[in-house]
Amino acid sequence: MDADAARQASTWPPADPRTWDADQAVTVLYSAHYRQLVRTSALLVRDVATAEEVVQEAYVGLYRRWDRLRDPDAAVGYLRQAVINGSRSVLRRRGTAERNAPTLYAVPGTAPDPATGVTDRRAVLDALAALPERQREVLVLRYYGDLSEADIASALGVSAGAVKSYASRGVQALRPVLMQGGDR
Amino acid sequence: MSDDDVYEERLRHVLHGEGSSMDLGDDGLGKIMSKAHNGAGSRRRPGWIAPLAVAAAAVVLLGGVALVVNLNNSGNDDAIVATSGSPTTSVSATATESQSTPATSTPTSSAPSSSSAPTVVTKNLAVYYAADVPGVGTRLYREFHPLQVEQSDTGAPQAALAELFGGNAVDPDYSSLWPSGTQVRTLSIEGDLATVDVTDFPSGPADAKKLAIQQVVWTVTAADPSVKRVQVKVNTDPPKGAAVLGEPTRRANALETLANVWILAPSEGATTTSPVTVSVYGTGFEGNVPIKVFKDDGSTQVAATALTTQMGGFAEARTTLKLPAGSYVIKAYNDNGKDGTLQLWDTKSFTVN
Repeated sequence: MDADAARQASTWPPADPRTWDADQAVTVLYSAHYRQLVRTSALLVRDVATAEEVVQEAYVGLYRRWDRLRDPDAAVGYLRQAVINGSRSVLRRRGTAERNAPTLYAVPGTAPDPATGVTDRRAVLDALAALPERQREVLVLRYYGDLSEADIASALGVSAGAVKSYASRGVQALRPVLMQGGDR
Repeated sequence: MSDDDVYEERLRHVLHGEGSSMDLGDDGLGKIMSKAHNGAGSRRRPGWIAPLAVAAAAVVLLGGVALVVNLNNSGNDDAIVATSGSPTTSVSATATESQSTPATSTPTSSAPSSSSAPTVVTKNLAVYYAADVPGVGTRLYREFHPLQVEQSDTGAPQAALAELFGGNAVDPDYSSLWPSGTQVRTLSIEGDLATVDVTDFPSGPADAKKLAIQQVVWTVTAADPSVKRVQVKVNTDPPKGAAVLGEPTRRANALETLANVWILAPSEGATTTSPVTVSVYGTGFEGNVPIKVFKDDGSTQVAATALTTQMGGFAEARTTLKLPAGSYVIKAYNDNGKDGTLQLWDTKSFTVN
């Protein structure tokens, strides 16, 4: 409805984000961040379809809050927090047993990679999945999302110092599998 | 490059490789917009419903174990025992619970006769009420009410809606979101769509209106499981407010619309004998529903246990508690699976003879 009409308008989106309605805000932020957020969540929950649901819920939450946020940066901050929280809930619902025995994705696109063989990638991802929650989240946000310490801290609701320490402990814990990688 | 840099670079490489190998589904935006426009329950607190009258933010979960027995009886020799036997977990699929408690009907006649007045039977029908849950927002709670139902295609939803609009919840913490005196003008069912024309509509924020519509949607779809969508009209017009209010609406996500736990037994104001059957309906982290029983002055905790329902879905669980004669308040919680903080969802007052 509004969003479709708006998408076709030549002046869309209006220059001032504060004038966007919720449909416009979600549409703009969808194009800019959806895929990255889904992949971030999928690296945490290890399932793309589930990750899409988590991220879609986050955008639905954004839709409801847009009137109060009215700011794209704040909205992205909200989306990241919501995706992290949603991914955590998925892992908790799934339960400890399954988390410790990760299922390999049946992602069709997991083709062998000349630099890092699939096997190595799986070993690293398995080890990542076995890390404590926050270490895993910090590593994914930092080394996949390329977020700053400050942005990670705000997404996780922890201090920048804590981010540094989770990152360093996480990398230390992954050293054995990363060592076996042997590429470059 | 230091050692650490090498490891970090490898990790980055693995994560980016994995990320770019993922195939995303089509039309994420369409799904988001469809959910957004259909509006699930609000997390905002309208603040115009009586809050559950309770204290209690952070209470430490007892041991964090599923079946916990805590005797807090300070030497009284009327033993207070929480016999937390294995809970009966009747698993019903998420949010289809209302059909699992079959209506008890006592037909007075089954004659499909010509022009006589419609047969009336008594049925226990689910009616959904709202309560403001501190720390969560407004959620719906279910009560079963015995109602006089005309045996016709729309008899059950008619009766349930009349009760929703005109009756009272048994639990004083629950209330209807609809203006008192609201009446059903017409109710028709075509396929899976019920159209309800009513005489009044709540005022207030859009989220509250959407939840009021969910109150009707859950009640009608419980009364007639073949109904999946409900369209509300107010004196033949769409409700005032967002356009979405006038569209056919399905049950919104249960976890965000319903209370996560409510107490089935003892019922509010019940007088019972020991051992007291305690039964809850809900969901929780690892299905865990902590229960506490207090003296009716609210000050002294006399028993605690926990029931295991279902994780990710809703289920019923029960146990029994031995309690000396007296008046009590029972409270049911969720823990957040993280730090032992308990979220209070429901309270009932009851008396043991």
